[in-house]
Formats: sequence, C-alpha cells, structure tokens
Amino acid sequence: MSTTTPTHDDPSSSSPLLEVRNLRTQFHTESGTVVAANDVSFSLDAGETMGLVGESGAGKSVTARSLLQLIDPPGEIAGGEVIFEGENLLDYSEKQIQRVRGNKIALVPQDPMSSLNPVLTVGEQIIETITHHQGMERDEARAQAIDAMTDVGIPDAAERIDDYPHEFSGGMRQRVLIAIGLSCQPDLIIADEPTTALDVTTQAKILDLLNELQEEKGMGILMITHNLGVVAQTCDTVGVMYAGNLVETAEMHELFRHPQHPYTRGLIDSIPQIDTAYDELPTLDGAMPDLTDLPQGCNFAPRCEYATDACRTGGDPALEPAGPGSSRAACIRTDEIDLRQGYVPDDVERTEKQVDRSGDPLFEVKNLKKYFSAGDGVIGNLSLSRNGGGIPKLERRYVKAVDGISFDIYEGETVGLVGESGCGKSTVARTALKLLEPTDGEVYFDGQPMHEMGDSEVRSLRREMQMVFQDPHSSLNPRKTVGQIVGRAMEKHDIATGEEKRQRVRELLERVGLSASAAGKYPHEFSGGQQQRIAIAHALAVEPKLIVCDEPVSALDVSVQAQILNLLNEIQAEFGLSYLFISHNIGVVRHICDRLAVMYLGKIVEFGSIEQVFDTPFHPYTESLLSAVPHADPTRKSERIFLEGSVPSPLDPPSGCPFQTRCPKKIGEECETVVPDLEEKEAGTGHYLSCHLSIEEMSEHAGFVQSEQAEQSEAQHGD
Amino acid sequence: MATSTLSITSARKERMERFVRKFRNNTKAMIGLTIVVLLVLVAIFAPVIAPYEIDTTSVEDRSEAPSVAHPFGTDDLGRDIFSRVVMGSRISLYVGFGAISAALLVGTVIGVVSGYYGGMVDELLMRLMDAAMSFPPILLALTLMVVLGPDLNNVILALAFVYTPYIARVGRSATLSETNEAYVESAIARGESSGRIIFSEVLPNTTAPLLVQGSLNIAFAMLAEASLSFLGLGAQPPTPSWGLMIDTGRGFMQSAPWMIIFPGLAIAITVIGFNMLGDGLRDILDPKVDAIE
Repeated sequence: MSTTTPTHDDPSSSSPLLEVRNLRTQFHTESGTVVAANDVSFSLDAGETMGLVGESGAGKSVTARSLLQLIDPPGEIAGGEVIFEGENLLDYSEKQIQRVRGNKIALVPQDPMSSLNPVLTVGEQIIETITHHQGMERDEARAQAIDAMTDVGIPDAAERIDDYPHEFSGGMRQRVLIAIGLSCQPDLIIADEPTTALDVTTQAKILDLLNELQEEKGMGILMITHNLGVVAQTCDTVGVMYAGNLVETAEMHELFRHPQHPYTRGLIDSIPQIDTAYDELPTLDGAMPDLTDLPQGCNFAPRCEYATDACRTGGDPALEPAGPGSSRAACIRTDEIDLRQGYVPDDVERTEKQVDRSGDPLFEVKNLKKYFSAGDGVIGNLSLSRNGGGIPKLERRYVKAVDGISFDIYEGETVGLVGESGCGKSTVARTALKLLEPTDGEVYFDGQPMHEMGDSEVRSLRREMQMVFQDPHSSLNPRKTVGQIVGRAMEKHDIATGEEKRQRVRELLERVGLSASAAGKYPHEFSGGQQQRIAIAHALAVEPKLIVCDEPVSALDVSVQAQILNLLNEIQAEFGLSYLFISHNIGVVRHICDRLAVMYLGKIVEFGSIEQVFDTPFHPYTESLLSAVPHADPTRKSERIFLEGSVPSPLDPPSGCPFQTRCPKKIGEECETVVPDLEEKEAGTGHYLSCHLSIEEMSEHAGFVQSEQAEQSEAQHGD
Repeated sequence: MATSTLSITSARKERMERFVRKFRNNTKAMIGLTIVVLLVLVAIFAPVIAPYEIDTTSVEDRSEAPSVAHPFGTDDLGRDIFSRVVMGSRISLYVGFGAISAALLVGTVIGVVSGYYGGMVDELLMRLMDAAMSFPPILLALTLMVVLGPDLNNVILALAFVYTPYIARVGRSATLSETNEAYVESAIARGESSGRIIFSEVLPNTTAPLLVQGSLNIAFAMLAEASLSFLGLGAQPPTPSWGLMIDTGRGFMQSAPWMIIFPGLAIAITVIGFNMLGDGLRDILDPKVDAIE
C-alpha cells in the first residue's frame, strides 16, 4: 500500500469536471465588506485531485463552500461561475442545489467528532443520504450503505452499521463521513481538512484510503488543507491561496520543484523536515494581512523578501502563466526571480548545544503515576466484575493516564515528549507540575521533593517553573490587558512593582517580538501567533528555570509555527532555560529538543537523544510514527508502516507490552504476557527502549511483514 | 491595578463603542432602557413632579374621577393618586434594586465558588440552592415575611433570599465554562491562590450572564413586592406602594376603578421595561451570537 498518483488523462480532450471562473465571495461585517474569495478561478478533471492550500483565513474553505452555495449571511456569493457538468451551479435555486449536494458533489467535513449526529446510528445517517437522493427502498439503501462502509475499510461493516458514532474511534468516524460522502457515488468530493483532527498514524491511513478510492471510482477530489505534506501525498494539481486570492496554481511536482510565487517557496521552507537538522528554522516573517485592511499593492508584499516598490504600490497582481510549465502565479516578478532553490539548512555549521549532564538534574520525575477514576462522582467508578468466576466483586475502575513514567531534565536542556492523542503526555506535564495531584511517584525540582510539599510551598516554587499552553486564545484572560497579564506574574512573585514593573513588561514584550505598546491592548486584538508570544512573555516574566510547553505551536499556522520555535530556541540560549516540550508532531520536536521521550498508552517506550531516537535501533512504535509523517516533498516516497486498529482504551489496557495489539514486529507470547522494562539496551548510551526485541531486530529497517510467523522463527529476545 | 491606565482606554473605549452600537440596534433593549431611565428619573424627581402631598387627605375630594386637578383621580381618603403613583416608583425601585443587589452579591459568590471548586462544595451548595428553589417564590417570600414581620426592609431581605439561588445557578454555569479555559490553569501555574483566581480572573468573565439574570430578576422582585404589599405583608399604610394601593382600591373596584387601574398600569409598565431590557441584554451579550469580543 503505497501512495500512487493516478495517471493524467489528457485534460484538453474534454471539458473539465468542474470549472470555477472568477468566483467572488464576500462577507459584510461591521468594519466593511471583506472579500474572502477574490476572483478565484480553477478547474478540476474527473479522476484528478486538486489541493487548495493556504494558512488559516486564506479563504480556502470559503471557496469550497461557495461551490455548493453553502454560504450563510452575512456572507454572499457576489459573482462568478461554477460550471459543473455544463451547468452553472450558482444559478441553481436552493431546491436544485440540494439535489447536487451529497449526491453529485459530496462534502467530507473536517471534524469527525462533531460532524456526526450522536443520536442516530451511523447506518441511519448513511441510509438517509441514499434514500433522500436516489429514492431507493430502505433495504436496498442499507445494502448500499454497507458496501460504502466496506469500501472505506470499516471492518465488519454489516455488524457495525447499527452502532452509534461514539462507539467508533476518531479515524473510524472519519471513515464513516467518507462513506456518507461516497454513498451516492458522487462525481466530486470536496474534502475539507479531512485529516487535520486526526493523529499522524491515522492520517496516513485515511489519505491512503482516499487515494485508493479515487483510483477505483475515478471521481474528482478537491482537497482543502493547510498541510503541504498532505498535498505532496495526494494531489495532482495544487492551488495556493493567500488572503482570499489564488496566488499560484501548478501541477503538484512542478509546485515543489519550481515554485513561482515567493509565498509558495516560504510555505514549503517553513515546514520542519524530520530528517534534517536546522540551526534556525526558515520563517516567513509577519502574518497574513487583515482582510478588512489589505495592503496597497500585492497582498504578500509586506512579507515578501523579493518585493520592490512596484510590488507595494502596483495593486494586487493577477494570476498569469509563469515559468516553463503549466504553472500560473500572481506575482509581477516571477520571471526575474528563481525560487527553485529552497532554504539550505546550514547542517555543517550547526553549533552543538552543550548540555552538562554531569551534575544533578534540574527536574527529575521518578515512576510518576496518575490514575483517574472512571465514571462520575464518588461511587461512579465502582463496577461489578466476575473475573475467573465465583462471587461478583465490587471493583474500582481507573483510567491509567500515566503509568510509571521517569525522566529527567538538566539545566539548559529541552526534553521532548511525543505521542498520539490520549497517550497521557499532557497529563504528565500537569502532574509533574502538581497542577494535578499525582497518584504516586516522586518529582524533584532542584533537589527539592515536590511530591512532599504543601500547597503554599508549591505555590512559591511556581516562580521557578512556568507553562505555555496549546491554545493561546484560551490561556490569556480576555478581560485583562496584556500589560496586566504579564505584570501580574511579576507582582505575584515580588519581582517588580510600579514603574519598574511596567518597564520590564515593555522590555519583555519587545524581547518576544511585539511592540511595547501591546501592553495596553487586550489579547483578542492579536493574532494567534502574537498571542502565543504574549503567553511566552507571561511565562518569562517570573524568570523561571523551567518552562513546560504543552503543544505550543499545534494551534498555529506553519509559517508562524517556525517563528515561535525559533523564539523558544533563542530565549533558551539567552536565559539558559530548560524546557519540557510536549507535542504530537514528531517533526517539530526534532528542531527544539535535545532528548526525546516517546509515549504510548501512559508509558514511555523510548527515551534518548534526538539522534538516537531518530535513528536505528527504533522502537517499533517510534518507527511507525516517523514513517507516518507526510513529507512535504513528493519525490521522497518513504515506505509507510500502517498500524492495525486504534489505540486501546487506557481503561482496559492490553496485557504485557501495551503496544502488542498493534505492533508490526510482535514476536509472540512474550509480548502478550511480559511487560517490557524501559532499559538501556547498550549500557552507557543513555538510550532507553522498552521492547522485547533485540537491537538487531529493532535496527532492521526494511521488509516490514505484517504477519507474525516470519518473525517468530527467529525469535530471540533482547532481554 | 493601575497598570497603564491611560493606554487601556483605547481598547476599552472600542469595546464600549461596539457594545453601544449593538445596543442601539436592538429595539427591545432600547425600549426597555427608555422605560427604565424614565422610571428612575421619575423616582429621583418624585417630590418635584408630585403635585400634592401623598398623605394629605381631603373629605370633600374623595373618590374623584380623573380630572385636570387630579389626573389619576383621588382615592377613598381624597389623596391624589397621581402623586402617590409617582412617589410609589421610589418604593418599587428601592425594593427591586435592593433585593437584587443583595441577591447578586450573595448568589454570585455562592455560584462562582461552587462552580470553581466543584465536588463536595458544589454538591452541598447547589443542593441547598435547589431546596430553596423548590418552593414557589411567592410562597417562600410570604413565609419569610410572616417570620420577619411586615416591613419594607424585610421585604428586601426576603426577596434577596428568594432570588439568590437563581443568580447562583447562573453564576455557577458561567464559572464552569470559564474554568475550562486555559487562563485559569495558567493562573494556577503562576502560583495564584484560589481566592484570587476566583474573584480576579474568573469573576470578571461571568458578568454578562449575571447582568442579564439580574435585570430580569429585578422585574420579578418588583412584582413580588407589589404582591406582598397587596397581601398586607409588605409595605404598610400609608406608604404609597403600588401593591398596597391596589389592595386598598380593591373594595372600590366598581365605584372608583381608577384607584386600581393606575397603580396596576405602573406595575405593568415597570415590569415590561425591565423584562425588555433583560431580554435585549441577553441578545446582545449572548456569546453564541458573537459576544462583545
């Protein structure tokens, strides 16, 4: 199962499946009319996948929704044509377009968690679509629904059709949504960020599924995404959007090989590659302009390193043919500048960060456990069980969110914690900081035992360790000004008051890349990236020794992501801080961490320096995580390791090794019965692995066989 | 916290402007506000507006129909009803605002504390509130008035008690949703005490729903005051309470209907005014319909 690109039909031979001409969608707001899609034109053939990429607010979703007239007031489609099967969909009445939606053109929405109706079975929701559009009898529709579910790879579809959405995992729910989309055999599928809410290993499977389905059924797919890695994996042609405009359209390989628009180049460069080391990530400075206040000239000019005076004053350029191929770009200098060469990481010059690990660690966690009682209230977690027959016993049930974790952080070091959603990484952070009371285990900060401290002692120790949260919008109190938020931390710990405090707040804000005048504004007046800078300033205000970053960049756009990561690295060098960096994105951690712990189901499965974790020997889980990350480079075809099933419930973890139910390298009974210890496979290296395999087996990179027999024959264990 | 007071003004001003603009576009809120403002003005300038003393009786002028001299007529003792209705607005507002201010003070604290701590504290406080809410409001107020004795300040006390649980409920649910925001966790991570987090971080974010609930409850409290006075357990004669005036006029419904019509109208208009204001505020402040942010 590898990613394949369907062969191109000659596009000139027949009219395209979908042709969008000068589509213009605008929203009327209090501060004037905002044009969210500005004269967008593109076409899409049957059997082709077109990607629409851009950062949030670029207008990609609005464009896609306009095709189906799914724009609610105060928005309106102000002009243009959407030609589908020879007719202009924008001329259709509401009744007519309803016959197209879901039937000829299906929309696969972004969030599988909220896009299914929780009170109807999934079968009901698929059948409804079929009977509504195709006037089929229920029995017949049911059979077709089961077929659709089978097509999207839901095992035992005939049985699962009567299950409710909450009985499916996130990835399975996304498959159900795709099944709904496919159920009427549409000619076009609009997939709006279909994998954004999913883990990488699940994302890889869903993208592969879409590719396969397309090959089989030959429909067109319009793939909306912010992730260029997804584009590289699935698309044939790409449209790049910026501030409501299509700034470049190109054939996919051409786009990556020879981008014609500087924004495209910037987007490609700012994605951290998992196999390259950078000293500093390349960034696109600034952020997308406010749509109510667009710049005079080219929309991208304020952020463009190639911009000239003509760019800044000459109005927004139109999309015109550029370069030797079929690419089109909206840039007046595209013929003069050559963007073939991407950012070259100064690999050789990388100044190795020196971390002194000879003394005592700054922060040490030993055998930390955090169990949550399952169910609500005092008696909610009680359940009757009859294990092994006999009299039923009352048992308390616990979710073992964190189950015996140990790691340490030295001064000036960044330790990463990666894993998929639900593996307990955020709980580790909160429990280690005593934001949650640990069930068991020891936590030492600077040699002081935090687990033995009372509330007030912990509170005064908070000055030494701070936290940066995932969602900056939520982590800043909307009723306080930035100055109050940052200043409060200083006041709290008697660092500065009055004029001195105000002065330091201004300095801090400037240090994190904001203007000093930001102090008087409220958080909602800033963009996401700027809000995260404020959150970092807030954390720095008390001059801590350790900052715990809980997914600090996952809510941000790629270009902003790189800016924040660079800022964190700079600050570390300047203040000698330590970080505990939590992320689900293994590509991000590579550029900020010195050592990395990979978590699965409440346990650490691998822990070591970045070089050790990213190179053989791999823990099988680490290996599959690494293989699932979509590369933003179509020429690279890494072979993917698809994990079977989904993460088991921590309420009922598997016996033996927690990963044994999905492990592609499982060696047999030992995996099912014996819990592997996290141990140094080679003494003195500091590389810890929790696996029964030997180093040689874990170093085997090629030849993944899904069957167990092949491995079993040479079963020899490392421990 | 006087942190950069000057520079805040621009942001705060913008926020206010936005609120005012939304308010202006909301007909309900504007009508409600107009009524309430007029009522407050009448109450403030009552002694100036009222043409007669409220307790000057006159045997010759008793039970006179509305005329130029007595626009709302006179009652059975010859007192000018217009003057009494005008002065009565003070009583209504005094009790309404008094009771609800007290209820807001106590109810908010209970609600916010309950929502923030959760668990046993929440369970205990909320079951208490449920117990209080399980009585029909008027019945509970009546019982309390019997215990406390008929007096206008006791009416405030009783009504404050009756409406506290309603405020507490709203305060609790607003707090619950705010507690999930990361800024609360961020404050804990900064080392703030619980009290400080509750009152300085969370409370300012719960004001919108509390304001709405408060303004709606003022209308109910005023109505309840009129009812209690009507039943003889509120204001005592000769206090010109609207409810009391209706009670007195009840015996003369046939011969002098103006004795109950005008105080009744005053009650109706006041209650409608506060209700419309509350409804309008809810429309404006509802986060689902784009909050002030």
